[in-house]
Amino acid sequence: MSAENARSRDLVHTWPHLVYRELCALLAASVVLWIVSLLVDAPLEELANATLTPNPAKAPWYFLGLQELLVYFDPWIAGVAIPGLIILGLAAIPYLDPGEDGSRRRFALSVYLGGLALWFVLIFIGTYCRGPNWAWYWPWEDQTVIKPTLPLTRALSPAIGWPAVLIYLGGGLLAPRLIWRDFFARLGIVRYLTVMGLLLLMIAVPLKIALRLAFNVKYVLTTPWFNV
Amino acid sequence: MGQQLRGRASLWRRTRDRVLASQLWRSVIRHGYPDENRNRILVIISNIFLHLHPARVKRHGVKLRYTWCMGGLSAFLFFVLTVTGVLLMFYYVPDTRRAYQDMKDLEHAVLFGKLMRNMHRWAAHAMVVTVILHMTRVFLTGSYRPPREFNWVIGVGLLVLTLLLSFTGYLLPWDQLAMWAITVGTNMAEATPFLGAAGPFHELLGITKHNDIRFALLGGTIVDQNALLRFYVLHCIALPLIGAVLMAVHFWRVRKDGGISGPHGKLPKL
Amino acid sequence: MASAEETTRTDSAPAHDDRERRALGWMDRLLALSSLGLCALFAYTVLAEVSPEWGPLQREYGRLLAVDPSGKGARAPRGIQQIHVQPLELVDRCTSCHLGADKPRVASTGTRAVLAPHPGSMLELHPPERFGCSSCHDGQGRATSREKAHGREANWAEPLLLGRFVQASCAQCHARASAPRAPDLRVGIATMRRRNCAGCHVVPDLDEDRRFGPDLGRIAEKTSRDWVFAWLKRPAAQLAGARMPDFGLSDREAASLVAFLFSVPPPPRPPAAPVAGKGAEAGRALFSESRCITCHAVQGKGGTLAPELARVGSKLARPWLEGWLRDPKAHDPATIMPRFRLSEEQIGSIADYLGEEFEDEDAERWQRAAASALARDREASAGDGRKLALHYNCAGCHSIADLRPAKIGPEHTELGLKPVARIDFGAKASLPRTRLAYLREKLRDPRGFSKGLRMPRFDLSEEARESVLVTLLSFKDRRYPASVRAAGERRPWHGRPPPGPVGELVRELSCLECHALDGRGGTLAPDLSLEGSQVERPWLARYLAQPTTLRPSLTERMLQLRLRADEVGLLVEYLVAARRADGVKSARELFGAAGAPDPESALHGRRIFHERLSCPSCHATPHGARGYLGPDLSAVGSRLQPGWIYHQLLDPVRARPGSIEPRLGVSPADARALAAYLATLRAPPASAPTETSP
Repeated sequence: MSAENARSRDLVHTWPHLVYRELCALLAASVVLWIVSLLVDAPLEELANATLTPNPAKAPWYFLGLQELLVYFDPWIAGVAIPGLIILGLAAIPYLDPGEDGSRRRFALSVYLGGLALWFVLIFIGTYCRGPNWAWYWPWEDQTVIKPTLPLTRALSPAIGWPAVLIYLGGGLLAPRLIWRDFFARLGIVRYLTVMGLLLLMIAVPLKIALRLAFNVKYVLTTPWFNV
Repeated sequence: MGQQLRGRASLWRRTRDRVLASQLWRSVIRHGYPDENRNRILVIISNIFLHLHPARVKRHGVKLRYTWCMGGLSAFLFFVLTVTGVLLMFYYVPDTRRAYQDMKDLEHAVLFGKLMRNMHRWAAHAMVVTVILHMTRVFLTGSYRPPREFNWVIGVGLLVLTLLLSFTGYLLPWDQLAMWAITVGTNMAEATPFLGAAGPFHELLGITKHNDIRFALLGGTIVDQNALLRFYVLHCIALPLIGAVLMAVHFWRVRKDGGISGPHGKLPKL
Repeated sequence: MASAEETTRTDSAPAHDDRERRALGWMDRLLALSSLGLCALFAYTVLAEVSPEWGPLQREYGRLLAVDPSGKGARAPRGIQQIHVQPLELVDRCTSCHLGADKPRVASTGTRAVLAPHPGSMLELHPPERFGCSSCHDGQGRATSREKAHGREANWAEPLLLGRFVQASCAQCHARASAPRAPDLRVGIATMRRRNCAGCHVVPDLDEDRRFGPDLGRIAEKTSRDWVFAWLKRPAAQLAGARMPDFGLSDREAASLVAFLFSVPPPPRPPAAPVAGKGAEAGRALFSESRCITCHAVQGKGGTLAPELARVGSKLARPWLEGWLRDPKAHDPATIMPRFRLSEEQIGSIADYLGEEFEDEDAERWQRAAASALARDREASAGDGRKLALHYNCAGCHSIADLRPAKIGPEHTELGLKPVARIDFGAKASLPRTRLAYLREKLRDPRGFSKGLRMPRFDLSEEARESVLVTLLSFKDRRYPASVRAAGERRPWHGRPPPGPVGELVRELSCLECHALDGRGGTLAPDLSLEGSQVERPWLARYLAQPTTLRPSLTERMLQLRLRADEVGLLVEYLVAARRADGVKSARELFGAAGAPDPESALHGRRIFHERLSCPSCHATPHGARGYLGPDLSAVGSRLQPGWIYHQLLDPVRARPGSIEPRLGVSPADARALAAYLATLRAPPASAPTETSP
């Protein structure tokens, strides 16, 4: 009986508590959308012309993060592998979550929010900081002044690249296992490997960007079939 | 003053009760005015739209700070997009010789045409934002946890669909922005391993730029009439249909799993 | 809504805590505001939609029509008006505001320009239902608000063309060089041809691959280093109306170019002994007799085909001048100067005359300046000069050593549509961001936009610059169907150039610089395409041998080329045999077996000429006619064939497009009689023919 009481204290009637809030949100959103639509016209440029390539040609804003990654990765990574992994990783979240609460979620929260922040930072850069030839322009800079293109970049030699990647992946998989033993224990081997694999790949993206910016490295791995 | 107010309120109540008791009203809505528990439950379970929700929801779940309303707003924006989109379809022909002129006519000669197009465009952008925010909220509150794991997966599918809907719609105005954004976007598809003519291992499957995944998207090797038609059909028919089905499943499972703003278990502290 | 508020307040579920109640109060206000906001937005949207910009104008036009006696019965249009031209894929809604544009004038609209009829008679030539509005005026025909319709929108490539710039649209259907009612296009394209824009740019209508400036192979023989230096520094200072632009060269650069030009070994030529003339006076006579000023100007008076000669005495080296006068095309195969058949002594005399009478008074000054600059820049090397010559594409106009011409400038083909966003305003950020403002400034100060630009400065007058701007804006192709293009305007070269030895002679004499054959050639002198059907053979032979007598009013004059008898024969043979019109009767066909008019019909024709028709008001005859607007016909029988006269009388404009001779509706019988009369008007045997024009 007391459990029943506690349960009903935890519940409220959908009408009006939820429906009323929904109505408010809906009306407010309508007003905002209507005002924006009156004030700002949807963009419409010149008639499409296959012979007149704009410089730069930009994808829709929500894909600009991927386009920005093209600077640092080959197209098959930036345009296919990374978005594919993002979708897979997102879909896998419920199955990787060990079901903890409160402060112990710090790891999950920081990974998710970090990934989201990276995504929007890249979008911001792609939208506001890229000009002709995809060169870097600060938002206040004049984009009609053409900047010189980036210098050629180099590949790490296989003698460095392969060991570096193996150390990164091996170390990345082993170190948390050894340092945070209960983290491993809570996840179990399969979930641990999946979580760490996805996490290491995600961290590899900003790492590669840093390598490129700091040391002008284009490829870490070179194979006869593809380069990374 | 207070007397007067009470008098007026009782007049209101008397009128209301009479209307509610009339045959006409009862034929539409069968329960009484929802100001007491029984009717509050009836109003939810006897209405097909409100029935999306259970009759009672968790107290913490309806707080704005908790729910953010983003899922509901995404659904609302989808509804706005459907309505404005259908209206736009009356005036738009997916023909490279006409599409751009139709945009101009919408702006200059069609009654409310400009407003419809603006609303469609901005609602589409807003929907991408609300869907991402909804997903973030669900993650932060841990609402994807059992038994809602699979509904999260469906949600990820809806996110992808939202992006695809926006992307396919991007081409339709047939202006420079459209053509080159789609060119950039589909050029990435060309780099798909195995399936894209510029991706690694494409030669293993005999993939050229005339049979790769980009060709399938565009119906050709360049963004032209075929691409416009494909994107139009995807944008107006295929993707909304899939989206509607996935949304039905999504909402149904939310309902089955106890209404908005899970999870069932303990509240994660933020 | 009210019920929702109320039920919230009277909720009987477990009590809300204070925070929740405050939150709901906040939401009530949000709900109320949103609802009011939505109502207001809806009202505003509907109001805005039913009060478009053209509404007041249409009401005003209706009021004006109502009070106007001439507008009785007419009703002002209501709603969006549009002209749809299917073949041009054009929808123009301009008449939604410009209500009177395509209608007759209504007196009471006099003060309202926007409601007035289209000025001039252009709409009669180009009816709106066939051409719309934006085919000429640009702008955005589909738009229904003022700014957007006038094309003042960031993403609209074709803003409204105003004033003279409307002419830019004529080129969509008319050839620029001959577009009627488009003087700016004609002047503009002629200026661009004259300044050889096609040397560096791909320019529509200017694709002849004839070299343009002089051949510089013999520059070392032709003139001095000083002169070349001074010329390079500032061509216009050395020669009024110089075609060469100002490259803004530094002393060092000019000196390097001089070093390069003088380092190129001239091609070998046959040695010629210096010739002695009979002095400047004899030269002067020859100079005027040969009619050099048909092409050359002296002190600004004379032709424009060839360079001004006023200061040539201080420029040219005498041996080179002698060789040039002997055979210009041997020096420079591309020159338009014909070879005059001058004797050695005559050559000497002309050289005497040019050397003595055409001194440059300013010569000492520039010679001194050039000499000191050249002495200062001793290190200027031929190698640097060659690099500069490549950099500035000197070969675009001149032929120099082995340099190849290159189109180093941007194409002009679509200049009229170039997106403003793609124009680099560079240092001139204060200019209005329009195509026109950019082009005007580019012509005025071509290198001011940023460093490293190569385009030289052309000293164009304000007027010429505006004409060139009109022409530049006309460079776009909307690919209108042939059905709307002006018939016969873009006439391709359909005839055959004169073959064999005649062809060589025609080239050597540069006949086609002034005369035209089948639409190709100059416009200074009569078209010779049908000459063989027009003139009598003996007259032609006499005229070619000695084109003496002139109409005094004529500025272009046939050159005295001193042709040899065999050359005259060749040309006469070609013209008579090959340049014939279809359907022109011979004298025999016209007058019967005798081939000559009988006196009776001649007399009949004379009566028709002087009494029935208005011929005497324009033409002169020995029988009392005194007109001077048309050619003097006193000896027309010696010059024109009767068949041609007959042909021309029947339909003057068909026979000679552009003729001002009226179409009098002469019957064939009368025309035959008139031809018979005119054929009897023959020059006395001793006298020469008097007309160059048929």
